[in-house]
Amino acid sequence: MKIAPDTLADLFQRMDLFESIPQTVLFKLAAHSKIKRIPADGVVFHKNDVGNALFVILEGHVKVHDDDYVVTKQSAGSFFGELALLDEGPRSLSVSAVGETTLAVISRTEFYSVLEDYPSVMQLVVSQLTRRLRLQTDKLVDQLRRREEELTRLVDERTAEVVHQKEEAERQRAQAEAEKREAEFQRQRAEQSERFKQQFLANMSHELRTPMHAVMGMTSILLQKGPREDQMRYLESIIRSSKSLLVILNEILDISKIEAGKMELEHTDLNIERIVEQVVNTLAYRADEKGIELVTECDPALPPVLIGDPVRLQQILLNLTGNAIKFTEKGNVTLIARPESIADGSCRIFFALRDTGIGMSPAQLEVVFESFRQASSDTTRKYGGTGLGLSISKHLVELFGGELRVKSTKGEGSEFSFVIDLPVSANTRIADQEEVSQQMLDALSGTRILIAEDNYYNRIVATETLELRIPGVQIDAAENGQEAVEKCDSGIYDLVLMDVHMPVMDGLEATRRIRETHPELPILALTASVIKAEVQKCLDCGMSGWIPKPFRDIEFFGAIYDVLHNDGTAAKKAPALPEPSNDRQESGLQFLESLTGGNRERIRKYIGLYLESMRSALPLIEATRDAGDAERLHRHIHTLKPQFRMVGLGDTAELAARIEENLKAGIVPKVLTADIDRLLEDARRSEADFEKYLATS
Amino acid sequence: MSDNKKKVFLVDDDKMFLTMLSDQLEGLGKYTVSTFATGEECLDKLSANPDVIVLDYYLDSAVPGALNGMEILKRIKTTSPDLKVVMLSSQEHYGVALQTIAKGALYYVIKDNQAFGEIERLLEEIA
Repeated sequence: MKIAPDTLADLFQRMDLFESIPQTVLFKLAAHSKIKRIPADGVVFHKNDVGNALFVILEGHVKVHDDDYVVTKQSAGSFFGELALLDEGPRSLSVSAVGETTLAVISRTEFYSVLEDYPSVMQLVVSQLTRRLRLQTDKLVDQLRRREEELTRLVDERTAEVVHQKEEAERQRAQAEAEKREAEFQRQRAEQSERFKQQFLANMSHELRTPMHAVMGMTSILLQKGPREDQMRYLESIIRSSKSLLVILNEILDISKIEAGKMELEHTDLNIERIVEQVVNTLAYRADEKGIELVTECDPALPPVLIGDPVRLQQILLNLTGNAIKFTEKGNVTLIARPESIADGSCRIFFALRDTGIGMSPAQLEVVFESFRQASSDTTRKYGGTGLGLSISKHLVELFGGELRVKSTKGEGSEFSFVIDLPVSANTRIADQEEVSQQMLDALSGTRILIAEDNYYNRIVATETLELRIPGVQIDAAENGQEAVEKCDSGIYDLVLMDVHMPVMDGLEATRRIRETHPELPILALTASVIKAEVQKCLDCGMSGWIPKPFRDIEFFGAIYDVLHNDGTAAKKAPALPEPSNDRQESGLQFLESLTGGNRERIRKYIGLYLESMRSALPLIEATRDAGDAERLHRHIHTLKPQFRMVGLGDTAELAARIEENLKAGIVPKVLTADIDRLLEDARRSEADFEKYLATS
Repeated sequence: MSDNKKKVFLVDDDKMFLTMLSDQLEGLGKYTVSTFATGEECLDKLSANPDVIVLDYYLDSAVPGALNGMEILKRIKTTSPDLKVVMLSSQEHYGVALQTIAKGALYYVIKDNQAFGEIERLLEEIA
């Protein structure tokens, strides 16, 4: 394309760049310029191309760009490519036409030759160059800033992600921890509830046995009262049922004791032949009833006295023999005991029970020792029993260090056997005190005895026991110490059995009074406490000895026989005193002393608190008793109970517990007045005692 | 935290027992013991974040109408389900013990001579 030089010169003249240039010079420049037409999007030059010309836009638009990045746009009347005037190096940016564009191209040589004398043009070129560089720099800075922002955002995002991951990990760890804690908590709770179960069962022993004994005791009393023929049959049936209930009860308690790991064996002298004999004596009638022969093979080579637990050994043999008889219809049951070896003061003994009974299948043998298991549900119906006996026997044999084994063939019979080691005792004969001899009882015939005991049931049991066993014994009863003192004035008694805790006047005081006029009269304490200090209190006030409650025949008659016909030293001894460590009650200030390590100051402080508590609680107990407010009365007594225990008033604590029980059972305070009064009396006495203690210690 | 003693709250209306137990635990040198005569006072101080609360069952002998331990236990468990609570009572009844365990108590200690040793052992285990 061609543009006339004067037309181009006119165009040049209108441009700022050539403002001060004379027309003639511009005409000359126009004559040396070339015209170039670039189609839309066509490239004028590329970045890095080497160029030596300046471009003037005559028509259209261009964009100055770096690849996709547009640095600036220029329109007609402006110029570009000015860098080539300064330096014939590569282009720093690309330039393309936006629409169709017409350019005038002025080469470097022409530019300088024509405009040599007009430095103002150069200045304008340089200033444009500077502006464009600044623009470019700004863009770059902006780009860098944006890039930095982008990076920051990425870093932030990444950081957030990492933090999130860390939080997640922490949450998972916390959750695992919580689950672990929960599992541990559940485990502890399970253990705890297991402990309660055991505690509960142990407590039941007392709570179930006591009423059972009451039922049996009362029934045997009724039997003595000349009942009619039909009544007699009912009473005997009650006794029988009670006995079997008691057997079951004992079995359940045994198994719970074993499972709680609380069963411990005694270590006393025992004679195996005698144990076997007692087993046979107990069960011979049952074998007779069924027409079975009960045979014993007790090897005479067995040492006469071994050390072990005779009661538990007998229990095992009784159970195994009883079972053998139960499951045998004809033939015989043989109880075998023989030594396998004797060495180092220990005897290895083999025990076995063979029967010719119904036997067991291999499947039945597998479960025979499991608790509550019987060979079949038919067995329970046909033979009765709890299914605990064998399980108990097995555990007991294990406690003896042996293992209960069984061999059996269905339809032919069974053999249960075990081997245990028992130490040989240094004694050559067993002390003959396990059973009350008839000789001993005969020696007591015609004795006149006064029983001072406030508890109706204990009184009846003691009376009954004495009357049944001692021929011609004469019993009189007193309900409290005062009454006992009055009755003793008559001087007719050979012996007084004295309860320690009684209303009106306690056994200790009564004994002191009786001693004033009857220094020689044997008085035996009846005491539920087997604590040395308690027993010592009885002996200190002049009692001749003591009998622990509940009564065991041997201790009961033994002590009576001892004070009446021996020198009476045995009754004063404390043969079966358990260690107080295992006892929930300790006497006197022993507990406080051991708790505080004998710290006087602390003991005095606690006694002070005890007194303070009594001073405020006792009037409240009186008031609620008088008002008949069972609930508040219960609460006050309940609070005092542990305090009694702390200061060694175990019996008072027990009394408090009894009152509490009764109140809870719905008995109105009025009925319990005697007990409540006794409690108050005990508490007041303790107040006086402890005030004295504080004054003197 | 200058000392790492465990914080134990004791709640009992029986001042003698409370004092004895508190002395006993303080004497071990491992616990900071706070005592409260009622459960309500203890609830007010729960923000102190005790490690273990030893809580008596009956609490109204000194302050009539005070909430019993069972009720306090329930409230503690509502606000701080993880807080370890040992119940204390002279109530030997299995049922009562079971109830408190069911409501979230960790242990149930019968208040007698052996309680001190038992609580020491328990705290050793759980605090």
